[in-house]
Amino acid sequence: MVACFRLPALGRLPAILVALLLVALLGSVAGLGGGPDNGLITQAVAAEASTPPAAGTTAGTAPDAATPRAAPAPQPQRGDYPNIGVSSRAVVWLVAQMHLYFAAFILAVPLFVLVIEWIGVRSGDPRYDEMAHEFMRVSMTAYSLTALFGGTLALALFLLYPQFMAYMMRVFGAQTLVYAFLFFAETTVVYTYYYSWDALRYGNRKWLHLTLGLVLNIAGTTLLFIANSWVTFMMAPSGVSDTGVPSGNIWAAMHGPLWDPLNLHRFIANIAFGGAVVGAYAAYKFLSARSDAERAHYDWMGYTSNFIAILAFLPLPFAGYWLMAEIYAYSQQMGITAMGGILAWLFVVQAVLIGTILLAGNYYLWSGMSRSEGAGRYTWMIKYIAAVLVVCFLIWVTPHTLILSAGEIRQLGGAHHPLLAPLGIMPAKNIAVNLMLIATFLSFQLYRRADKVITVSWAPLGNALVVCIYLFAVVNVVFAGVYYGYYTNTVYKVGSSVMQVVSTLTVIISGVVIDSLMFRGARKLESHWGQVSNRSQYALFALPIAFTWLMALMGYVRSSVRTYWHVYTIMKDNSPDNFIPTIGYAGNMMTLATLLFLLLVLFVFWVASLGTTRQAPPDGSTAEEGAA
Amino acid sequence: MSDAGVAGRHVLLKALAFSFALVLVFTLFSNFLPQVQGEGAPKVVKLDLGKLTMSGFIALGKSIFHDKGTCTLCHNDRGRAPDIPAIDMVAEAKKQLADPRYHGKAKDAAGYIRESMLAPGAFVVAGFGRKGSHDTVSPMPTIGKPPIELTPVEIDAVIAYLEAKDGNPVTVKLPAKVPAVAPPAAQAPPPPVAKTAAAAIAKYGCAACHSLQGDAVIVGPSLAKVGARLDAAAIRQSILDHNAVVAKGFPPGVMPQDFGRRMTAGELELIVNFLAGKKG
Amino acid sequence: MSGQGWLKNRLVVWLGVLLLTGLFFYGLDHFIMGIQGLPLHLDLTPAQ
Repeated sequence: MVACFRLPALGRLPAILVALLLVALLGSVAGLGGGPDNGLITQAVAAEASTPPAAGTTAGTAPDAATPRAAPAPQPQRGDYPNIGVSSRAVVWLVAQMHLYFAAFILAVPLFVLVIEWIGVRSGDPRYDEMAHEFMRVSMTAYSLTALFGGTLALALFLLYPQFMAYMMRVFGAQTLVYAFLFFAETTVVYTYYYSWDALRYGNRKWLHLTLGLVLNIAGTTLLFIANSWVTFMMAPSGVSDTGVPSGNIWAAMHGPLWDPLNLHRFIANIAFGGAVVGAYAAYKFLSARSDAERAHYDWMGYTSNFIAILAFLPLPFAGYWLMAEIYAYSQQMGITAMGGILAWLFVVQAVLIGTILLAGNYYLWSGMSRSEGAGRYTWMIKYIAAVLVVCFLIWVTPHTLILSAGEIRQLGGAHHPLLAPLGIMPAKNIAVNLMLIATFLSFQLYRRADKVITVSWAPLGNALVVCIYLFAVVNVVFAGVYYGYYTNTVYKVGSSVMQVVSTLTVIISGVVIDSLMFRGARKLESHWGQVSNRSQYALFALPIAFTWLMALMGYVRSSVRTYWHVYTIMKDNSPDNFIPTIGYAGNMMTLATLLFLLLVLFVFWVASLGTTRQAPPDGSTAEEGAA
Repeated sequence: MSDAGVAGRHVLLKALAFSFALVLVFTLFSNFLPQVQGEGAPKVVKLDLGKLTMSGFIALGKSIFHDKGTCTLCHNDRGRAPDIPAIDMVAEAKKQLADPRYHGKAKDAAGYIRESMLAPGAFVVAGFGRKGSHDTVSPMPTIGKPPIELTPVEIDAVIAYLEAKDGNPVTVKLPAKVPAVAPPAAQAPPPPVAKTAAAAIAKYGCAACHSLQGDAVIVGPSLAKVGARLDAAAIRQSILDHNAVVAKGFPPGVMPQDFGRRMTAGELELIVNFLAGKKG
Repeated sequence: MSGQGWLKNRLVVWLGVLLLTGLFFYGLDHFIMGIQGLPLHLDLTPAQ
């Protein structure tokens, strides 16, 4: 056996080197843009001035290969759009949604797998490493499905929207090649990362394996950020003139006002989504487990998945709020279309979905308290937390405008309910959301305390601090929402929501910090993995279903907010489908996508379990005899 | 099949049934809500300037204000922008023009409103600026540019509406240029060809200036006995080329010169024959 | 530690923490609104 040389420090060096390499790669993506304003822009503008107006504004038939780069965005007319007999929008919608689902999944899994693997290295407990390995195994088939849907999407887009795609290629240029190259990088690394798991199991090799995981995540995240830039460009174009002439600065086209918030939102949301999906896998395996050991293993896996999903979910409303705030800052009109205009009802549907997610996540945590003997100290709080969740959910779901007949309007004395109408506007919603998040975190905190007895000397101080922070955060959230929301002007009303967010984040961050300090040297109580009700596993099915449907819903909002523009204010959408469909139609499309995804994910998990299934040879004979 | 396989199959079915039921709840909820379909891109409407009246122009401005212009998205009673429907815009414009912070180029209400739409950053009404900009940066988009892209005619229509809605006089003019594509059918249909002498005389209004019964002089000589004085050729010449021979004592250039263009040949003969027969 | 003294200690701890946390959130309110260009009076009413 070859002895590896003992250079423990060297093991970490590859990680740093490779990270530097990829930062350089990211930098080169930016460099493609050509850096800050230079001659390219003046050249482009001069070219636009001298280009005859006909170029680029012709009713484009096939995209002309001779269209100069410095031409404005094309303006195709209705007859210029290819027609394949079915709604082009429906085709692209469905294929894009499937690609996004799988892409989110395969980006998320390596993220939390790497963290779990690292926890395994730090703690020395082999169960973490095994669970991380199992998460990877379960998701491998999803990589090819992502690529298949991505290829189909590209084909559909080029077939059905050729002028739009030609323009996007002009704007983003070589960046699309970087995207393609990163796929090669990601595929190579993911196969190596997975198949080398047992070969690179300990010592320096483990560090190499972790480095591979890091590289995989950097490639994946870069892919996400690149694809995000196309979407944010369509909503809030940058790096092009008023008529769409590309400045040549690709970085300017990428780094529009909505890029950063969308990057953050999708990065975090992917993690929550991925956690929820593997949680369903764990729940299924738990319910069909044949031994106590198996039950314990999958119970723990389910708990970990729920932990990841809910932990990532908690900051999501804030990331989404930031995205919405940037949309308002870019175009008040676009913002109001989303939340106050035709799309406003969608946010009531969103409330239903997030209510489902929070109720399911909390229910799972409360059920899980039964695993530990120490939980009895806290179970009395559950009914109050449940009450807060339900009341806040009802407030969140209350619309401002009611669905009324003429007779009902007469009875009511107006289009709005005299008592409940104030609950329909943002200040009430903000109070409700923040309180729901605080309540969920409380469930979390109680669960984490349930199997411990705190032994630090300053425990009374720590507990007093935690309680007072909860108390004042709740008071602050309600005060900010009620006072600034209803009794001051719009600007203060909007600004007060930041106050509420920070209060909630204070509870979460301080709770995590104080508890981790207080848990030092705590006495662990008996905790039985596997000792949880079967019913609780259905919460783990509800989570990914709600997440999946919610993802489709929010994607529909993001797309629709552009109204009849391919690229907002620059390239009009003159296709037959250039209108926002009804919410019922949209809901049906989302359901179709969700069910399709559900079936494909079942296929992915089934293939994974097939890989470990071995048929017994007939009649006890050996395998070789069976073969001809 | 093994017991484990059967159990696994049951779990799968239960999980699927639960998932389908949950998805059904979301689907039904979204189908239960009010269904509103968005409109596509606004269609280009060709204005019939021939038929346009000021009240029609104001109505056009009102529909733009509520529809294509998307003004009411922000200009309402919820505090995001000045509540235009409730404010007398002419009085308000005059008030803002007198504001010491105003440094724009407008001189009157119409100019102020136009400047607000085409260059919203020129002046921001107190309290409505972007958060943190101390009323120096306007959140209003430029109305003449995409995505709203109102044309100058549409902007004038909106201004007309904003002036008229509170009873103020409208200072914008109707669009004067007749567009090259005005369909000819839009003009008033020509009156029908007269079939009798009486109808022709009524159509061309001869009785407005010529008495046909008595000897009275209205503007021109009485035609009650014109057939005795003039023959058919002379009558024809009087109608078509009046100034060639003017009756004594009457000024030239009063009778309309364009009967030759307006009358059909048939109508002309009807009148000539009728008048030639009036010999007293 | 005597029973009486211990109780007093706990009350003091709670009151102290209550006061400190209250002050922290009060200061937080001023800070958050301030950095957004929305200053407040001492009684947390808008100053603009």
